[in-house]
Amino acid sequence: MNADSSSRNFWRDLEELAAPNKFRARIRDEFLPGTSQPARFDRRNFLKVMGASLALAGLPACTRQPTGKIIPYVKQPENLVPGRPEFFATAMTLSGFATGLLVESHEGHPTKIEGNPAQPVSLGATNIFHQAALLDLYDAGRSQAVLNLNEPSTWNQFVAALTAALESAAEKSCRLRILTGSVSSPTLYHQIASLLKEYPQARWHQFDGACRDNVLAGALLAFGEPIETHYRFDQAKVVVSLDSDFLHTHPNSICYTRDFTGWRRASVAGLERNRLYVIESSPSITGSNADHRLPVKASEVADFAAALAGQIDGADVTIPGQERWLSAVKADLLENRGRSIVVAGENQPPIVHALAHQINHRLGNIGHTISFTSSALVNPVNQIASFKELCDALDDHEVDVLLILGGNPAFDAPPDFEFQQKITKAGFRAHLSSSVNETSRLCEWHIPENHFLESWSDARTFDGTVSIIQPLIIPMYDGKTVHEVLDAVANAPGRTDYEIVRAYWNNQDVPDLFEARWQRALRDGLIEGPTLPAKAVQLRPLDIPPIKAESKGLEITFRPDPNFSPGVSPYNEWLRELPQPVTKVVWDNPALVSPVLAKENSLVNGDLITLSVGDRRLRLPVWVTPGQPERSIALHLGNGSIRNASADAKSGFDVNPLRSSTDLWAAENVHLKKSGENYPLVTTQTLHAIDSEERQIFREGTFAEFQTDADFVQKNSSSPTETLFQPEEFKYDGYRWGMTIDLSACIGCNACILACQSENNIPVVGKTEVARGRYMHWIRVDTYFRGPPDNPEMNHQPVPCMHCENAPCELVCPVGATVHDKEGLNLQVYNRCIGTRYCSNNCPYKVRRFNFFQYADYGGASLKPMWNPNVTVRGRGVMEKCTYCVQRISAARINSEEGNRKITDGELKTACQQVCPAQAIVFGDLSDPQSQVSKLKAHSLNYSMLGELNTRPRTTYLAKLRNPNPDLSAT
Amino acid sequence: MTCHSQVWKNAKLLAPVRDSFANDERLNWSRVNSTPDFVFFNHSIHIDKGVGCVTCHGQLDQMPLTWESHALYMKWCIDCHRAPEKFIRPREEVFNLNWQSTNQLVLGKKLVAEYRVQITQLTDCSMCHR
Repeated sequence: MNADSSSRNFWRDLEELAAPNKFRARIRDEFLPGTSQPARFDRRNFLKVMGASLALAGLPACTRQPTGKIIPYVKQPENLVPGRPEFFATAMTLSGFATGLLVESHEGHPTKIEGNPAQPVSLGATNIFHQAALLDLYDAGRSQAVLNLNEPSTWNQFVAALTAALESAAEKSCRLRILTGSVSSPTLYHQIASLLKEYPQARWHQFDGACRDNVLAGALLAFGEPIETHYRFDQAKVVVSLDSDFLHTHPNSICYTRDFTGWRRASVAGLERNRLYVIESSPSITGSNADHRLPVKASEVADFAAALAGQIDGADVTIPGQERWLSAVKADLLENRGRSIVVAGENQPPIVHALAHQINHRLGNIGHTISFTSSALVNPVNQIASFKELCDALDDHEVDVLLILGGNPAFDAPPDFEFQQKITKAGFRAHLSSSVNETSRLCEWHIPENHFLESWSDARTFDGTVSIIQPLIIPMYDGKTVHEVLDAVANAPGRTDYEIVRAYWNNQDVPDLFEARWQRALRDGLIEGPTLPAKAVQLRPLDIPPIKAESKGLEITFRPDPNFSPGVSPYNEWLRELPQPVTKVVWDNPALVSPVLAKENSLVNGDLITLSVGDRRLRLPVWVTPGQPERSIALHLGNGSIRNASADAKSGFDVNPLRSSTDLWAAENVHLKKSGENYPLVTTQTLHAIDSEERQIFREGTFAEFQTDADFVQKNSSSPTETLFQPEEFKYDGYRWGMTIDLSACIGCNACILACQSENNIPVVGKTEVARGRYMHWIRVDTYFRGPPDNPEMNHQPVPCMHCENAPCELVCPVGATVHDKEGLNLQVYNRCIGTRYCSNNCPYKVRRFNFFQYADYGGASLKPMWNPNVTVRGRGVMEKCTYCVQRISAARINSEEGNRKITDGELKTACQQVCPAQAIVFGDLSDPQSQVSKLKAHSLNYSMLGELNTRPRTTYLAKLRNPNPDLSAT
Repeated sequence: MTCHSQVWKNAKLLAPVRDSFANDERLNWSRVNSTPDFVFFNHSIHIDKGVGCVTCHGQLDQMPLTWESHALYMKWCIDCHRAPEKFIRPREEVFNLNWQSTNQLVLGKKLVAEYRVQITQLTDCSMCHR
């Protein structure tokens, strides 16, 4: 298949696939019909108001600006230069596991979160959750005061009440129960362990919304120990994912993304290439990067695993309809013994994990691509069992004091735990939480939890490296940390979190050396020491389950929402407005149904359906999702929680009512009923879509094709020779900035969108505004599908401003608000812009965004200290777009000129480049032939999007190479 | 406190400064030189390229109360950005409020070359507006 024919087969939307011409007509205009008119505002009214405003225009002229105030420090902190940012190393935990961060602070306000390059696991990259965590700190809806029975109270009153409750029982016999999420903090473990010793009747329970029980249970089944598996994707030529989204939801996904894409970047295009097979129950980020993807119901993944394990052992087992897949995967795995990985997903039952372990063992992968350690979590338990035990104890009135430290178990737990009813049977209930949520409302006491940027703590990364979590700002409200709450239990009135964490580490060290080591740990962001030692394992014989007969029944698979993780607030608006990786739906979590199922039930996007499992029911809208298995409906967890009783508008649908504790991740015997009503769902997939007919917007080929003809991408691409521009009219004598985006490496994780949002003060506009095409993201990630809607290929393409040399936007601006600078940037000058929007209409890449309203004020005043002081906060009526992070260029230029040197390659990174775990984005100086970006631009895979328009974009793409298995691709 | 812990230690006019330091209360200064929000100004690079304090702030040593010596209009900024040779001085004279050049244009041109001031780039919008 050559580049010419392939480009025409891409589609973005099922509607486009069905009726391309209609779709093309719809996306033709830059602004959706009606977008440019205010609601209920016709021409006549407009003239009336304009007349009035003209008449009044003269009144406020010629007044002097009010005098501003400067309020300097009375005693300026050491090393602080106003206007110069400081960086502090800290860490953030997601599901208990830490990622090292380096946080930028301007005069005491954290403004940007980056990865800590010293951290061996992440090497400076982060994901959407770390980026979005900044917004949680400044969120006005955070819980701000201690509440007792919903009335404001104080910490001291809480401590007094807690002490009384603890002492009501005889000497230390209080039946205390502590409920936490997953914990990797050594200090917290020490605190809990001492409490359990002090109160012999006390118990510790753990429950996270998205727990990883199956992973540990699988290891227990295979090796007799609940150990953690570590994968070396940089060593694996063949990867088989059994419903595992290891590029996104795995706790070590940042490291895995870098290792996995290391095989795929253009700089190594001539060498070997890895191949990814994904068997999955709902399209995920990992699935969208597969060379071959097999959509099956979640319950059938076990069959595939069993058949594959059987075939590798030489048994004669197969699954009707999947024979070719099985034999191709088997052959590829056997050919790559010691260089392959089979990885099972968290939502798959333990047996699938055990089968994956067995296959890896037979293939000799253990010790090469796979190693085992004990978990970095301090006390990994089966969380379902642990939570069940708590519920039973509550039911039996065996709990005197219940402390819930973080999370929202009353919301996250499936209803058959009956936690909401049972919790009221505890004598004394307190909940530490960053928001007043469902669980808080069931507790007598609510304590606001400090954000990690306000807290002292510690945590371990997936590989066991310990990081100290240090605060960048004093707590904004009357919050506390888990350490302080537990210390209040042990020795009221208690120490501060700083004293607790420091005291713990002081006790671990040689007294004389402690201070120096402590300071170094704070500066570096990690404590140097051995990571988790590898464990030798002994595989136990497994009973391979028989292949089940294919069931035609409808099934639900529950998935963690791709934009939600325990550790980040579920109300985070950056994440809510972030387009979902495959559907690009914002602000909602519809049920994902397959095109076939939709056709059978005549469902279209947004149709409300009622799903019933037994006597449990749920009403929610559907989204017809390409690549969703036929008889499977995917529901995303974590949405629909209600904060502060009713203050916030609820967004999303709570799908927990359909879950049961026996199977957290799937429900069978599902009935679907169409209700006939419709619910407005908003997607960005067709907003700002480029009319791509014949245009080769997305170019790709196969690895084999590249090996026979390295220049295949360049064929069929015409660059015009005639032009009215004088191509060399401007001589660049300094830097010439440029960017490449590697489409083989990009996994479509959206981290660039949020990094840009955080760096460049991009506001959230809300669902109704997005529906009108007014979302403000400066970089978007387009997804192009190809092939049958049941199982299409998926291709991601991030699109920032192209910074064209011959920029169409510049020619049409009547006020010179968009111009070129001497380093080749296409600038947007906000103070000149009068909002004609001609530039946006003339931009073939559709990357310009217009402030129809004063969006910057939408988040409220509490967000003001969060804004990057080096970037203008744009007002209403102003056009904006990607600037190549011109504020970073400026800072780097000043820094280098003061040192009398040039900016070195790699010294300057744009926000999207810095965050990218796949290292798909490279930015640098094109006038330096040795720079990484210059070398990539010279690569034979390099192409310009819409190059035939002679816009000469500075952002270019490196065409995607797939590596399909010839045995599977031939039809 | 900084300078005034050494100079004019007992001046009556500076009592608020001493009180602020003694009582740990912040002083609210009235801003004299101010640029709009969409203008980004960096002092260090101006000092590094030889722009004297006096060039923008005036003879502060002769101001009993500080006033704005230039209106800080864009045109005024651009005048220097277009022709920095008319204004820049040796780095060691940046803080000298009384320094006078005998032949500014000759010296200025020499310094522009020596300090690698990229004149063509100085009028890019992105220099000040981001």
